[in-house]
Amino acid sequence: MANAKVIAKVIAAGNSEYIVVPRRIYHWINLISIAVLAFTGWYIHAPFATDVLKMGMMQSLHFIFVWVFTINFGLRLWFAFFGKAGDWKVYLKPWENNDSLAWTLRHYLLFQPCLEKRKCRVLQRASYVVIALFYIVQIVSGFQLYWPDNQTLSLITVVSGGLAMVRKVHLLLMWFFVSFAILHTYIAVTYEFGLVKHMFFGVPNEE
Amino acid sequence: MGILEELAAKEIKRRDFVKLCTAVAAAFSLPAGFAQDIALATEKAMKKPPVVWLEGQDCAGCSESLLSTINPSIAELVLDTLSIRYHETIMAGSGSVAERALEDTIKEGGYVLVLEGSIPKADDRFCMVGGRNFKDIFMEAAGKAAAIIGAGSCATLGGGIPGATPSQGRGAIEFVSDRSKVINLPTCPVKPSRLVATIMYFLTAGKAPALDQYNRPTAFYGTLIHDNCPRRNHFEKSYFLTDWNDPKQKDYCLLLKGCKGPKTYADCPQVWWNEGANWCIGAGAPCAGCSQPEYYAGFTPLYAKQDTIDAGKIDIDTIGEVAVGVAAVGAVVHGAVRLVAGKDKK
Ligand code: HEM
Ligand code: SF4
Ligand code: SF4
Repeated sequence: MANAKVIAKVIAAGNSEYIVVPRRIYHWINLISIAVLAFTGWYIHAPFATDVLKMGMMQSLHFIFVWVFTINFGLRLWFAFFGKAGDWKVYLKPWENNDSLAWTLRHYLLFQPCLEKRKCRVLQRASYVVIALFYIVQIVSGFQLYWPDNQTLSLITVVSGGLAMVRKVHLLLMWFFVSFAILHTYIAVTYEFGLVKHMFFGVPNEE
Repeated sequence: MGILEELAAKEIKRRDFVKLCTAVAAAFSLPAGFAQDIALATEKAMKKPPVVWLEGQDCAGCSESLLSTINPSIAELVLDTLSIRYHETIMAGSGSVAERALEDTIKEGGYVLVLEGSIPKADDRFCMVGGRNFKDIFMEAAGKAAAIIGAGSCATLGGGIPGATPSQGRGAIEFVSDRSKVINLPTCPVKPSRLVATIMYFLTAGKAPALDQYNRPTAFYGTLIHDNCPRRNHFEKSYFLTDWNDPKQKDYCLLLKGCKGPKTYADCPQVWWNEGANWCIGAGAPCAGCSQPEYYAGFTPLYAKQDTIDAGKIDIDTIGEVAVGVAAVGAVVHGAVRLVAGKDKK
């Protein structure tokens, strides 16, 4: 691996992590598809008449990016568990990763410096686990709406109380994703701008 | 007297009767030859009258829907001749005579039990008939019934309008132990053609038609209103009706007027009401979702587009807007405090 040295250097410098290329591609596609899905979904939920925005167009966009989003997320899961740089442990076993909840809380609530970035990421990582679970709920509820007559998916309708409830869950999660995006952006930009540049443009994070 | 003579006496031709049987066969996608079986079974049923009709917390609207068409329909007459053994609204007998007819029928067993209206869940005393809890009366009749048909929204899953009252009315399926015996035919009121077809199918096939997860026949409740709506094209083009007084908007999509079509399974767009006269959306009224378990409480307000948590209480958009607001304000405040505190500089 050509960048093994870079990775070692970055991590030794106390930076949180080195982001491999597949993760960066995933992040781009995820960002774009969620932005499109949230906007079109919001229009589908609360439409209004204009000469430009039309329900049919919004639905079509939603239904195209539904596949982009779902496949992208599926690949990310596969990558996390089976990929070469599989990182599922980072998210699901924070205790193996030196993460410390106490440090994290002191860092964000009492503005104490965090000597090793790596130790202050447990909340962020937990939020990504929650987000991943909600992605799954969003995909399952979305496909129930997409194929309303499908009998294999109809179990969901029973458990959750009808297609109306499925729609409510789908809508509520849209609002959740938007709220998350705001906080996620705030923390990333103000606390670890180096990582943002790294994630988006591949600039090595030596901050 | 066979059913054909009886119908003849009411000036209904054999051809019309066979036409009805054919319609029933078509509704359930049965081969055309089946119509003959249906006719025969219906005729046989004549000899052994099989229907008991109980009314719980109801408005008798479902009975009305069935019986009070201006021109008596063939469906109504067939049901009439299907010898309903007990029906509080239409039977001639009264008092102990009528009650005895019910007792005798229950003893015989094997009848089709139709429930109209709901059964109170909060407290049995919300609905008493002749000094007895209606729930007990129903449970007794349900025990030996061959099939139980919940007719109309109140008698099915959500309990319809009584379901939204303190009595917490609920349909048959929530009380009987053998749920597979229940066939639910929601809508407010029950649609006569569906009821007649379901009874005739049961008499012919000896079993319930294919049912969905809410025990509704998939033949009638298999597709979304929204997927078959004649206004769908206006939906796609974002032509939404906002003002009922504007003639230009006459045929626009009713989504913003609270149409529940996108959440409601029923064949109303294909099989219209009142012998094909019209249906809700055809008449310019948004679908109220009356075939769904959420109806009534879960779908109010009926004339506004609103998605709420917990039967009309908290608007999801309000929750969402508050969440986004809290996140945004939280980020700004946190950032400001952090700047002032200025502690975690590296
Ligand atoms: C981040 C991901 C997503 C977001 C933010 C999102 C958002 C939304 C929103 C807000 C609605 C409107 C719900 C309402 O009626 O109130 C909607 C509708 C819908 N979504 Fe999604 N969605 C996402 C992913 C998906 C996925 C993965 C599918 C899978 C097929 C999907 C399929 C649908 C369908 C079929 C509808 C109904 C369209 C209609 O009523 O015409 N969505 N979405
Ligand atoms: S009127 Fe109702 S069912 Fe018809 S297209 Fe509009 S929202 Fe759908
Ligand atoms: S269109 Fe909707 S409200 Fe009207 S009868 Fe059908 S399901 Fe009920």
